[in-house]
Amino acid sequence: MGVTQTMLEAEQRVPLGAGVGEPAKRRRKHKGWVPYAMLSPLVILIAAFVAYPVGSVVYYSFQNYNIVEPFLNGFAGWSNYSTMLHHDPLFWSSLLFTGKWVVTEVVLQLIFGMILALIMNEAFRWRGFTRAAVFAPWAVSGVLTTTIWLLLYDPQAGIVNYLSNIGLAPRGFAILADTHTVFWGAVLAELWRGVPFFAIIILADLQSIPRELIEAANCDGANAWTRFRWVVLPHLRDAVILSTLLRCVWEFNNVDLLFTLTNGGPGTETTTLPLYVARQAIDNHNFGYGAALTMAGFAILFVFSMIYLKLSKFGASTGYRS
Amino acid sequence: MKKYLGRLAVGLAAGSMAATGIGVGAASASNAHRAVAHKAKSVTITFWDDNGGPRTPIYMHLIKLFERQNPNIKVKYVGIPDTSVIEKYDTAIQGGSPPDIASIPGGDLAGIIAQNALIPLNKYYQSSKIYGQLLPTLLKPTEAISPDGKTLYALPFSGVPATLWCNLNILRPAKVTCPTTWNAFFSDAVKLTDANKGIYGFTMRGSSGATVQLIDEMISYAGLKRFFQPDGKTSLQSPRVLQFLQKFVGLYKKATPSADVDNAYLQMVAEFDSNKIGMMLHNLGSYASNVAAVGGKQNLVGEPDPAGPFNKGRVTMAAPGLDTYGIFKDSKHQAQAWKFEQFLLSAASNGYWNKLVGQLPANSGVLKQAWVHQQQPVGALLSALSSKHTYAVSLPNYLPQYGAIQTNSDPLWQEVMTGQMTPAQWLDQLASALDQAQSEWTHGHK
Amino acid sequence: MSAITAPTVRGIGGGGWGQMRAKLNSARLHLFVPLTLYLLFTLVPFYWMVVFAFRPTTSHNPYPWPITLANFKVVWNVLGFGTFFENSVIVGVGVLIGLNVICAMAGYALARFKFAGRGALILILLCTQFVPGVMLLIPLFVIFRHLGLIDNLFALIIADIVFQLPLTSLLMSGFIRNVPVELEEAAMVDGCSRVRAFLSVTLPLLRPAFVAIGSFAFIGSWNNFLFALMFMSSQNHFTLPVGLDYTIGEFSVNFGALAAGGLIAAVPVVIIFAFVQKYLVQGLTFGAVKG
Repeated sequence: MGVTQTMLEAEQRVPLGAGVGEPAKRRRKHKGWVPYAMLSPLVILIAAFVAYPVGSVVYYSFQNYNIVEPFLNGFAGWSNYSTMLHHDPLFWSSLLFTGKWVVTEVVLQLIFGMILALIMNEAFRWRGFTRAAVFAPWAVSGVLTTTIWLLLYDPQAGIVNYLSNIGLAPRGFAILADTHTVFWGAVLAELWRGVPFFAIIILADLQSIPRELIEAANCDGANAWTRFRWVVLPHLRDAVILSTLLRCVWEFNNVDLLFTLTNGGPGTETTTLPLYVARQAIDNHNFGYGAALTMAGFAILFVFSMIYLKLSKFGASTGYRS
Repeated sequence: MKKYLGRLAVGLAAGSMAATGIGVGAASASNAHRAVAHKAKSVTITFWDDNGGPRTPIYMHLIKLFERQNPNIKVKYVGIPDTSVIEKYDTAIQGGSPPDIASIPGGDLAGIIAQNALIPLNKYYQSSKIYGQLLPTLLKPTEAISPDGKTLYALPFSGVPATLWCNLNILRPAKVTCPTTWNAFFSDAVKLTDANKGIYGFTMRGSSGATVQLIDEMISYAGLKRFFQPDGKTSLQSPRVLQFLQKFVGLYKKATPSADVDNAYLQMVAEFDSNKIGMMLHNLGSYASNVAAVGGKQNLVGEPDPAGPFNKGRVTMAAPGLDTYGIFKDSKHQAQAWKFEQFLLSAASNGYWNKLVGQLPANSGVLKQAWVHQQQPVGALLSALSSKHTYAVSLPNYLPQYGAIQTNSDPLWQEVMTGQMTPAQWLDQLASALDQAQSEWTHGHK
Repeated sequence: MSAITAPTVRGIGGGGWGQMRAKLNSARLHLFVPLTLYLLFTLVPFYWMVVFAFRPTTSHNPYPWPITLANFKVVWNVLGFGTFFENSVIVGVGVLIGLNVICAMAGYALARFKFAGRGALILILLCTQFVPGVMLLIPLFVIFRHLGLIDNLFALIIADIVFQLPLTSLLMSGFIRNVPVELEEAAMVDGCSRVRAFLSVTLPLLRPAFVAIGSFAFIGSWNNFLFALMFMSSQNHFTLPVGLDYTIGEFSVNFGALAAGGLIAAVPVVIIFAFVQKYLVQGLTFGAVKG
């Protein structure tokens, strides 16, 4: 919340519970050194360990920099960028796929996460166990996630084989080998470990809805849907907006699942932009071109974040944007 | 500018750690370590193994023997997981902190040489106890990887030639023997297939690594004698090769599982190991896992590539894949590293290693060891490679981009299998990438 | 604040169903059918891992029988998972503590103060998430080498902290904002210094946030493969994800060992999760303003 509120230059915020109309300011103006001192570890760590590496990416995007062809290295001007924009169909197709991937994943994760959170907010026996089970995939590492799903999908050794034995799937059917199914195969695997993130965040926010609010709604005779639409959803609004944004960025940039599950294939069917970056850096040793591709991703994420936050009027719902 | 920024970052980082008290302990600990090492007057060299995990115990054993013979040298073994070798080596070299000695896959060697990271080993080799013992079939392709074609920036310790694997559990009932010609291979693959029972004659590599194997197979079928013509164009661009590709892709789904389009080595070997596949083209490296999967040596045959239809029954093979040891320029203990390399390449160690892994040994002395002839595929491939009737064609592993060209062609081969691209288009793009790399390289080294 | 003190509200949107127990049998189906389906989806992959881990490598049964511990022995004795496990715990705990301390300070400053550069700082924090790690490896390696930290677990702790800081400090700031500032002000009126007020009033209320950020931190570092492999160069300094990768060899994959190693890596975290999930859910409020 803090992020975007400032970016939108909303100057003052008043906690709702403090009483509507009360002009109190909750963040003190402070001209002294205290906030800077408290922030110094954060700022120093970021400056020391992030600024230089990120700066070097910017620098290399203007260089011919292939570590195995040192005789070709040197200043490149805008040539990496112009190659990318004008002569590289894979750049555009990977960009398109990235969009499809991010939207599908985030929308589905949000929907499933929301439903799960609503269910797990109920009281029922074994709720603790259920929550732990539902959250568990979050704790599983990337390499393990992909391997589990590779094993599940394997047409000989996988669960698919047993499904086809009882007639539920065609024999020898390989989900990840078929251009029609590979997308959903990968989406399912990523959902498995991605849904818990939304479920946890939304559940956390559900728990913090003031009881009076719900009771008031009940007195007014609201049914479950009305209550959800007019009381719960507005309350979840900011959490959903911010976690959706962070998830978009994460799904955009994270390559570990696709890298091992499909390796961007079949063909280049499931190659995202960052996966293409990784290919350039690792297989082609071409850090110059990889840097230019990285900058493109950076620019896209930056613009997207700004527009997303503007359009979603982040912070507006709670009614205290002045 | 960049240097300045780098220093600033380091300064900031050091400052931040001093402030938090992290750095101090670390620095003093490493100083203490150095002091102890100095006192004992023994030297520790670091050795990286590019296939850490499965082969770790083999090296542990060899290192123990070496340290017993050389009490002044300690060897620190570090296993690098196979999936991340290029990243780890590139990062360490570029970051200025490589090991003293490492095992390097032949396919990655040119890239490491190009980073000017290795020392030439010719002098060490010539004045060593093992001089003349390394098999020319492996030594020559290693020389060929260097820019001048003569320098040994690494020495080979093992060879992994292309191999046709036959599962006799499938072949025997159909009364088929492991084919020795490509024509027989194509008809047997179809004959062995019984899709209703889930049995297929062949499994094809469709995903990453497909091109590496296809190049071997194209050379073998078409009987090519050299990779590049004197005019710098690749010989792969030929009607014979195209004929092979058309026949080969025709096997997909007809004689192979449809999942093959997604086969990297992992999935392909897993398919073969499911005991429902008759034949697989891979290399000698999968011997151990194949034997285990088919239920013992008696059910498995490994043969060299079959003979093509164009060279009067003579077998043509691409030079085998290589495993090599290289010593790094930044090493402060190059002499000790060489001692270790020499030990690893001796007939005793080299035989021990290759016996357990099931690959071609590099030291000719190993050929006298009994196991070479008891492991059928090793024997068959060794005799094929040393036969006068075999052509062995060396691959352009000296091109630093050779690996990348192959990797970039892999997804396109998948498109050929799924019908989005024709074999001719695929061959065109491969040939033009190779021609371009060759001409760039010729320019860069004039 | 209600995250801490308000009693849990129940019902979809609260309340309703709790009072309608009589009609519950039919209504509960809405709950249990989707929940059961989802649990199936979540647990089947875990089941598959158990199957591969406990059955012999030659077996093709869809259940872990005949049962064997051979895969675990390979992973623990041959691949050295004991050491990897220990390293992962050291790094995970180091990150957990370090990150929480830095986050508490930064989060407090971001939540409670207005100062020049605040907006820019937050923007920069968000931007650090926009670059894929593979492009940053070489420059990071150079920095750590100059600091003498290559092959030192501190490098991993620092790197993991740095790359998780942006997200977690924003989380923390959102949480602190939910603690009514009046509590601190009251303490200050009573004569406490600002620091005392923070330590004695706000800090104890932040417990759920510490648990939540700690979980994020721990899991993030527990699963970080890239940094562990790149910045460590001793067999006995690697962590669990690197160990897992050892089971994937050049020409063979030991699926049994991979699954066994995966269980060794996943089970402790899942168990810890089960214990802290209550706090976790309380600590992750993304800062929407609550009463």
